[in-house]
This record gives sequence, C-alpha cells and structure tokens, in this order.
Amino acid sequence: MLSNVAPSVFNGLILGAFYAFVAIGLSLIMNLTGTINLAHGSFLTLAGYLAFTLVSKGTSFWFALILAPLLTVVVGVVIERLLIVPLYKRDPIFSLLLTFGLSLIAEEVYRLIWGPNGVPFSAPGILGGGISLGFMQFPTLRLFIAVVLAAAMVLLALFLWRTRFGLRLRAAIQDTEMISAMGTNIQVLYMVNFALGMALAGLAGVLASGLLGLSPTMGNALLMPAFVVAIIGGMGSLFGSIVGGLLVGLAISVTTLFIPAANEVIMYILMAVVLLIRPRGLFGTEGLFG
Amino acid sequence: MAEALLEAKNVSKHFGGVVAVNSVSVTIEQGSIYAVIGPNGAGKTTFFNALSGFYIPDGGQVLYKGQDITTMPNWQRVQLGMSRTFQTPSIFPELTVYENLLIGVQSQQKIAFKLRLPSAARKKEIDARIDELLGFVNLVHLKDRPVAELSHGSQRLCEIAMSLSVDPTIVLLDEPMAGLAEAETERIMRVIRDLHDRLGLTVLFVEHNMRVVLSLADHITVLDRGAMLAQGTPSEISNSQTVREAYLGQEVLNRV
Repeated sequence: MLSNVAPSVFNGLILGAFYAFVAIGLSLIMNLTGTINLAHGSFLTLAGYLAFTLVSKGTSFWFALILAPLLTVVVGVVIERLLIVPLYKRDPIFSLLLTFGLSLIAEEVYRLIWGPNGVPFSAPGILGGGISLGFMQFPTLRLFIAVVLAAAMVLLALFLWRTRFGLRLRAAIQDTEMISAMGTNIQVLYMVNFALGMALAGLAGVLASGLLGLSPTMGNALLMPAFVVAIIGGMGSLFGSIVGGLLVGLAISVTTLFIPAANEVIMYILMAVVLLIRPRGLFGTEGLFG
Repeated sequence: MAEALLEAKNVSKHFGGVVAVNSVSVTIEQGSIYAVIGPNGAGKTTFFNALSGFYIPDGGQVLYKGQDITTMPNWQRVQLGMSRTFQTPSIFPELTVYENLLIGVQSQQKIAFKLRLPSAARKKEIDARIDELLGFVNLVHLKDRPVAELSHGSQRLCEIAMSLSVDPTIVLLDEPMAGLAEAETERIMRVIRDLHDRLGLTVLFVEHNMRVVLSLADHITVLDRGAMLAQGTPSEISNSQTVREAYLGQEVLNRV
C-alpha cells in the first residue's frame, strides 16, 4: 500500500507546488494593482518555449533555466508598461479583459511559431534517473523541481519580509496613496512587483515543461487551479497560497488513486468546503480592515 | 516679512462641469501655522491635493521656495521637504507602528532602493530616529503593535509621526481632527503646536472647526464653494463681516 500511496503523495505535492507558484504570482499582481492577470499562464508557457528554443539552439539546460525566466520578465514588463499601466486607475474589469485577450493572442502565436502539438523538452541526463528513498524510487527531476520551487519561495519571502523594498511593497498593498506620500515612486513598485510575478511564472514555466509537457495551453491549464488555490489559501496571503497549493495537489493525487473520475472536481469541492467554513480562505485577511 | 515657502497662485481645479476650486491663491510663509477652513464641499481637500501633488490643477501655479512644482509628482515633492497626511488616517494597518515609521525613515537614506540589509550601526541610528519620532507623539509604548489595533486618535498621531519621518520642512495635515473626540482633539492640537514651536516646522492644515483654527493658526484662508471668501490673521477673520454672514453663526463667534 505504502509503495502505491507514497509516490502519489509526492507527485501531488509537486503539482501543488506549481499551483502555489502560479497562485503567488497572481496574488502579488492582484494585491498591489487590482489586476487579475489572466495572461499569467501565457507568460509561463512563453518561458517554457523560450527555454526549449534556447536548448535546441545549443545552450545548456541550466543556462536556459536562468535566461528564459529573465526574458519572460523583460517581455512581461514591456507589456505591463505599454498596455496594463494605463488601466491601473480604471475598473479591474478592463485589465481583466485586456489580459484575457492577450492570453488568447499568445496561445495562437505559440501555435504559429512552435506548432499546435506539444514539443519534446526534456531535462538533462543528470536529472534523468531516480533516487532511492529506501521504500520507493523517486525521480531525480521531480526532486530537483521541488528543491528549486522551495528555494524560490524562501527567497521571495526573504525579499518581501527582510528588505526595505519588500517592506515598501507590503505597505503599498495596504495603501498606495500613503506610500507616495512617503516619497516612493509607486510606478517603480508596480513595475518591480509585476517583474517579480513574471519571474515566478517564468521559473515555473521552464520547470513545468519537463514535467507536464510543453504545449501552447500548458500555462493556461495551470491558471484555473491556481485561482482555486489562491481562494482556498485566502486572497493575498502568500503562506495561504503555499498551503492551499499543497492541499489541492495532495487532494488531486489521492483522489486519482482511489476515485480517478473525481480528480478534477475534487479541488472545487475542497474550495467549497473551505469557503463554507472560512469565507475569506484559510489565511486570508480581506475584509478585516474594511 | 518671512520668506514664502509654499505658494498657490490662482489655482483652479474642476471635475467635469463642477468647479471644485476656483482661482485660489495663498502664500504660506516659512515658520507659520496656516489654516484653510470652510464648510463641507468648500473645496478644501481638493485645494490641498493640488498643493501636495495628488491632483494636477487645471489652472494656476504651485510654487515651493520659488520653484514651480505645479506638475511635479507627489513623491518627488516629499524629497523637496513637503509631507502630508490624509483625512482618513492613511497608515499601513497590518504593519507595526515601528514598520510604518521605518518606511519613511529609510526613504531619507539615499539608499532606499538597495536590497542589502542595514548594518548594525545603521539599524541603531534608524531605531534611535524612530524612538525620537514616537517620543514626540507619545506612542513609544505602542511601537510593536500593529497599527490596526490602535485607537483612532493614536492612529492619527502615528500618521503625523510618519509625515515627520521623511524630514519635512512643511507638513500638510488634511483635517487632522476629523472624527475625534474632544480629548483627542486637544491632544492633536498640542502636537500641531509642538510641530511649530519645538520642531520649527511650517504647518498647513485643513479644518472645518472654527474654534480650532482660530486658536492654532496665525494665518487663515476661508473657502466657500471653491472660492476664497476671506484671508487674514485670526482676529481679521473673526471680525470679518463676510465670514460672519457666510460661514459663522454669531453664536460660534461669541464662544470664541
């Protein structure tokens, strides 16, 4: 039994970590600017394809793992500055429609450039094998992904809670007017915050390509679960997104094992239950301060 | 005559067809306590926002030490030496009192956007400055509490301390007494007087309570429906027939 359940649990946690990653990126952008970035998945896919192209042109996987997210940040910030910034002051529905449009355009562009079907993108040989954990064999790639995602989350938390820039970001989420009144250029905060979200999406994109398969819809497939995760964890709570992501991943993997047919609906059931008990999510504080 | 620190020349602002501020001019001298008073809807806050850069006026000019700052973004004005508070306390509720002040204190160190952690010596300096600011408004004992847990009056004081944390020359306070009980109003009034007397700052504040304005300010501008009704010293204002008729009840004046 253990040999059956344990790998599923591990895989579920890794899937959940991806959901959490995407959810955190979404929350960062939504908390500060009110923008619900429906193109978030598209940026994730873009990073995957950029890494694929870099590797097929002869760069090493490791280099692509760094460079592709950086390029995604550049593309993302250009789009933010040119298209999304003018909408920050307007009703959130405008930026939601814009980013929805962007995601549709992006999907077609990816189809045109890289073809409608998935492309093979595999991690280097060193990540190929498995590591014996005694009671089970665990694929090295998955372990690597888990370590990178965890390290990135720790870095993000350090950035937000230990640097003065992070303090400003956390403050700006609570009151953008006052942060200007304290002498900070809010546009710089918007830009860095968006870039941060893009970096998370980019990193997740490259890592997901090797695991979930790189196709034009890869990122968008992660978007819906990410929203569910953000709601379960509590909108705006970083820690909540992590817990929510791992919970959803776990629930999906365990359900797949016992009632495969229900593995898609389980996250919605989980969300409904959480919202019934705690309407603002597990760690959400929204509504607390009006 | 002291030097003009902040000047508004024929400042106007309209929203659609509504004229919120109509050609208002004020000259705030260095070292004065200046009040803008008027009933609700008189355009006080709009005028205030035009001075602090939260609105760009449709007409007229704003000058700071003679420099035209009419279209300068608000955050740059902070670096010139202007800081402001808001009518509803604008604080960061989930951060502690200490962290709220840290933001302003750090912004004064030209390394605000660097990511490295402050050295031990630097941190000591910052902490000393924060203690000094909290001492000024008497909030030292609440230093590590989230601001959301503070009383309304203490939140106001925290916001005033925040506006001081950026080392201003002039502090602009938007209805600092709004929604406060009598005892708390007294407390804020004492702090405003201290800003001037002890710290040597120039103060501009917006208020609708005539008693407060007459006892604190040395210069007053009365606004009514967006326009200037009167301007002068407290005695000139309280003796002005126009002000009496348009804004004050005789009864209010008798109490003063």
